Amino acid sequence: MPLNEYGDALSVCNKCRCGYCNNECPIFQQYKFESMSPRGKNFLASAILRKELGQSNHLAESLYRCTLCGSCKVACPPQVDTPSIVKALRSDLVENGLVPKAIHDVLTNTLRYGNPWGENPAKRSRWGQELHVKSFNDCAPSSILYFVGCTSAYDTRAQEIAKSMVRVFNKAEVDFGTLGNEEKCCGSPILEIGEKGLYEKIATENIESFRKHRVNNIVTTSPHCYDAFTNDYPELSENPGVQHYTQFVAELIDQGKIKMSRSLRKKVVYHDPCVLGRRNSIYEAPRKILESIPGITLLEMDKTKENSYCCGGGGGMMWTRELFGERPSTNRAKQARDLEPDIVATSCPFCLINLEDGMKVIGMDDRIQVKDILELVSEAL
Amino acid sequence: MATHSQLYEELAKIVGEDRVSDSDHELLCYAKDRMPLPDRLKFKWKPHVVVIPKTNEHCVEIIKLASRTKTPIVPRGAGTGYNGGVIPTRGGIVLTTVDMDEIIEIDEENMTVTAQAGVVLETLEKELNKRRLRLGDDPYPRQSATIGGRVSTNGVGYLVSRYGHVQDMVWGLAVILPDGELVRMGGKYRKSSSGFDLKHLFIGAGGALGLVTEVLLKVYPMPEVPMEMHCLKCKSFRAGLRIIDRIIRKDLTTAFLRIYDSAALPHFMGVDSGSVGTRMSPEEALVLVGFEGVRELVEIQKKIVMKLAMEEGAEILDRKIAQEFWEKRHKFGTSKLTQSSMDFTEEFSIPFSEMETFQKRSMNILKKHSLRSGGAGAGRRDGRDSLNEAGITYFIDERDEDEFARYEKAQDELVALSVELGGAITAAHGVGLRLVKYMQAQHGSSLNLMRRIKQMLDPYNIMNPDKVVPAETNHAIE
Repeated sequence: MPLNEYGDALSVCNKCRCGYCNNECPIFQQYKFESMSPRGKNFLASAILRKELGQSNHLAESLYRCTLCGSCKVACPPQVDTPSIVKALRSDLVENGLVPKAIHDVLTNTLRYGNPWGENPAKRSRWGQELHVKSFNDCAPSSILYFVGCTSAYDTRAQEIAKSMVRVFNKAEVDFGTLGNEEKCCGSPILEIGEKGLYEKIATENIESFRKHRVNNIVTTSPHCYDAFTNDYPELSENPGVQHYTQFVAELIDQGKIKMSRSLRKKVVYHDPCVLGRRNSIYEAPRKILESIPGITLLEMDKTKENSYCCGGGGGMMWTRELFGERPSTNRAKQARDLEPDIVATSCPFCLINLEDGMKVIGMDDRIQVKDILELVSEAL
Repeated sequence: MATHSQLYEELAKIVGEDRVSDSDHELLCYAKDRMPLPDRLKFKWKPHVVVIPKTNEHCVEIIKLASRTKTPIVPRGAGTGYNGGVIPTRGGIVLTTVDMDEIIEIDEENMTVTAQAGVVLETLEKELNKRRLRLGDDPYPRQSATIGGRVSTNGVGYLVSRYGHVQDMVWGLAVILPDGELVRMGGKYRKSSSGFDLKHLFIGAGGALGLVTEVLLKVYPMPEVPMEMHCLKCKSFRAGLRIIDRIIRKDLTTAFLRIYDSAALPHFMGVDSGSVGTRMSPEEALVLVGFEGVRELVEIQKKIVMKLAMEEGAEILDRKIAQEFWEKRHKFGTSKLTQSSMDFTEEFSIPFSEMETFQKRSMNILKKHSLRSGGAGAGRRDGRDSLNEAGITYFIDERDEDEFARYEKAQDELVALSVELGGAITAAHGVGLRLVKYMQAQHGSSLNLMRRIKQMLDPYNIMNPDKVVPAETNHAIE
């Protein structure tokens, strides 16, 4: 929705000013400037609507310091949808060419190479070469399309998620394939950055590709791809069935198709990714998987489920570290550390990378491992 | 005053560049708190620079700079105040304490806590709870309000009947005076009979005499029985007041004791006065009474109160309604906001004998000015005090200039009424900008003494000018 349709919601926030959101916002907790808080951003949005404030590069730097994690909306008594307001503000910045360079690079990379990382599209499927991952072309339409996602395809650490996914598929004898080098960004970060035109181009191409390959069932490892396909694509087209892998694997466990027999004997604390949890209410499936792994003691942080604390990877901020410095994952790593776990488990490639960095920053990476749930499942098989 | 770029550079030398900003959009964010303002004033008052100190040393140097350059400086906590206490009417520096967020010490043996001014009450409460301790101060915006802001506005909280006000819990303060001198006062004791009681000069001073940077608070043990709320339906506001009077004269120290008229129910209780379980006629009132503490004492107090209520003809309602009020106490004010209006509660101190008169006449004032009423209520203060905290709520749409003008007239009359009845013009949110014009009417000759104190400590009027003490040299606000 364009900004001017949020006038009433903004009016509510400007009158209320309770600031409950600020206390929950990982970005405000890090930078402490009001313009980087949800309440501050809403005030700026009102000022822009009343033409009291023009757009500028400085403004853009504040508006791109938001992971759209949604903790503000949960904390807000009148439930003002600040993440959507921020997205609307960003759309206007994009139109006026006022995005920070790091964000601009994400857009250019995605346009040119089909992924925000700027990696070579011809190398997209290289992670799976040794595993002999099939092309979806060689699968029946009733098979699973495993949508790998850009980060799990290219990032060497996150590739372990994809490799574990393949092991689980194979163990459960699931017929699956990928789009190989044809796979492109799902568009989620592009939409969050506010470049609606590019997002629609990408989404339309993906929808066309799903149609061409007669895809009926998709499993994603990234909650961001899952979210785009589930919540954003339906505006453009009817969609195939989509599951995040936590839902899919929980079902495999229920159906007895995989059996985890190796005991891991670890204390594990689970970190809810914002997009999987707060945005899509998937809280139980990941916990169910963890509880099914022999020897795991599951711990919960104070800030858990809908109150989970963002790792700092959403809303385009995965690519702005050099611009904006340390990520909120440092705070999250400290919260996890206080429970003295052996492992922090999560179910999102951004969270995996950021939390691992966070553990390094606080000097705990030699004692606390960060793993994706899929890696633990794969180890326990 | 120094040029803005000089100020920026000097401040950056003190705190580092990442803790200071003079970007237009950043400054705009500090133009307002919760004070109702029409749209034309909402974005008007911006600082020239905003600074985020971390330490006392930072604050000392910042205030020395302000003093040297005669630059106005406005201290700001979470910015949740009702009265514009953090609005930078003359530009200058906004000093925000949000990063002064260290809990310096929790002394379990002496049951005290020492915290930097920017610690959020909710954070403090959770840390204390881990040690079976709690704050005695439990205000509506606990989830965001800072302890420095609480002390500087001297607000009220939901636990006043049990523990009194924040002013009673502050045992020590660190304050930086307008010339940059850091002064510590008080200690881990309540009582001292030597010399002036200086800390009370700074409690409720709205940052006009100096910057509160550290607070030493008395804290309390967690009660064995957490708040158990009950709800009594009374035939009239007067009948409710009579029950309260009898509770007080029985010398019972209930943990919560308030009365609301029927118009207040939808706002404060989230229930329609005509709904099942309450079914109230307009003249009826609700008394909310809460118990906490040792189980045996809770039970015996409850028995006495219920007996007394029945003797007075009150109906004891399902206590779920009251308990829900308690659970939602930090949320209901804002959750009831509608798109077209904001709720606004004026809180006065009114002598008990005048409470009924106040309730009736204040409602008439709202009616006269066609303001939508959110009802009236009254609460008991500290322990054995009488009931003399009076609040009335109404709804205003800031965007409606005509309604805003009516609100301002009503406000004048409500304040005049509180003074006429021998009360205090505010019991909750401090003076700030909104109530400064009534200080003469409230304090008369003692305002002059306040002016002399302000003049002595802050001869250049740099500390939060235009707030609290209406200096004779103050610029007109508009």
